[in-house]
Amino acid sequence: MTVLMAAGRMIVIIWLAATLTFFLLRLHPGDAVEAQLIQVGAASDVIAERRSQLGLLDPLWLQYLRFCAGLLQGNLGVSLITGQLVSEMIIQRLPPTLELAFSAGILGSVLGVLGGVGAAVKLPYGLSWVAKINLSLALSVPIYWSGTMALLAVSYALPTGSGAEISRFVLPVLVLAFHMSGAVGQMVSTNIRLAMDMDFVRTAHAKGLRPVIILWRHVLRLGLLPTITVIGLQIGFLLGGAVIIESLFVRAGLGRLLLESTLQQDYPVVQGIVVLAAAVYAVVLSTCEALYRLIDPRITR
Amino acid sequence: MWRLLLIGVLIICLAWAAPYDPLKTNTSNQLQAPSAAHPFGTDILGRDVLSRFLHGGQQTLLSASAAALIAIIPSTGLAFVAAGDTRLQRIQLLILQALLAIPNLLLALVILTVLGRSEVSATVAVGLGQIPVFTLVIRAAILGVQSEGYIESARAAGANPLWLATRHVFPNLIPTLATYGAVTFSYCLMNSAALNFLGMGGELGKPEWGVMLAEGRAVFRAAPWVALPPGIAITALIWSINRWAVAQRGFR
Repeated sequence: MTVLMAAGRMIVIIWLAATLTFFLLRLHPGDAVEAQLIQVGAASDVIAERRSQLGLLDPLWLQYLRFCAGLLQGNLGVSLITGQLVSEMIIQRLPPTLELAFSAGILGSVLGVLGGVGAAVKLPYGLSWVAKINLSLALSVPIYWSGTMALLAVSYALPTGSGAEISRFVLPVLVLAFHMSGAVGQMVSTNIRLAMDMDFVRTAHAKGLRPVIILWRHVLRLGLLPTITVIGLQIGFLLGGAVIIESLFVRAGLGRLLLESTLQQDYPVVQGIVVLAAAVYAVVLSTCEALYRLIDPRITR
Repeated sequence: MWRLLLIGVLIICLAWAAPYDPLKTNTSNQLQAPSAAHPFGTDILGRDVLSRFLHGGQQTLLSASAAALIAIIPSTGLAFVAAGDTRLQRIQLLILQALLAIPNLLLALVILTVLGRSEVSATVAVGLGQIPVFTLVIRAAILGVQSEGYIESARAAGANPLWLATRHVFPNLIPTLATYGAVTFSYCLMNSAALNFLGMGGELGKPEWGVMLAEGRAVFRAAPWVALPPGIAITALIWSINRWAVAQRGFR
């Protein structure tokens, strides 16, 4: 029953996000067809014909109904500029972004958990300090700046021409993962510090358990639980980061497509990508929340 | 906090101390290394990097502040309006969650698609993009204050809602507003520089830190002094704001 309700809520949220995006984009007075055709110097009747072809002259409610019906069939409309199906354009540009977000997501989660634990507990050789400084850096360095620095470092370290593969895949993943590890790590270290202040941990200390065992058995179990949700929340960051990273490292992914479409005010494409992003985000987050409920014994099912 | 504000005002005022015109190009003076005449060197068009950096600081901080205000004022209002009525609150929560499902930068890009590319629309887009999160934070804070005993007693004593909101709830929100407002400012700073970096900020070549980073990236190997000052400045500002905000929350 709770699963059904969670799924229902998720669908409502996706639908609302799609609706909001649709109407937000319709606030725009002109449209790309007009802008593009006027630039070419087309006559006004040509513009009108093109617009009626694309259904832009219909009343708003009809356009909206058509949008909703299309959404249910996985049809996101056609690009105003190229006339291509938006869903086709997205599928074409999806693999590089998927690859980037997936690899960076996994690496970032691992780094974040390690870094967060490292920053919260006392480690020898100043390792805790390293973890703390890394955490703050990951949170305060803008991603476009660290990306630039990484590119520069590679271009100095390797002879020109040999680092193509590294700068196309490894570097973007590393940069994105580093930044994601900041947010995850901060949450982890906060939660672990809270867990260390709990009464049962003090009791464990009092009865003479070794600190390593307390950490492993009591603190980490409690402190790492919320991490699942935090990692889910980072999907949004990964998708936003992909826009910057793809433009910085010249990867032909979804983020680049979104950027190009924004510049050209090609709103069916912008709408398609944003609706997809919202759907992915909602699905991942609900899954994480469901997992969290499943794992945490304190929440009764 | 006063120290942070002082630094901000100082950066904004320092633009008037710039030694050269930040837009004046000089083709016989391209990509000069730092020297006595040009302490931060010159860029690819021979413009003085120090002057561009100082003017850019003013531009960047002012637009980030404007964006933060665009985020903070309506959000606080929205949270207060909804606080009075549970039904309204539930609807608001649902809409906010839907908006939250759209990643921040993507929401800003949607707004930019509508407004077209310009300096003002980039600022507005960044600010509006922060509204969902900020409203949720304030909402949570209001709920926390509302559950306190003194609110209940004031209500029992017959205080009207407006009096309650302005006299009892709002003063208790000020710490949250200040802390999270500063964090929102740092997001706005990062995002508006990002949009400018991506070329969404209107006229090209204007002195702005994000634009400077983009320009500096192209010539980084030959002339790292173009991109270093704005990169370091943005990082340092966000770092200090984060540290201050974390200290306010009582950790560390």
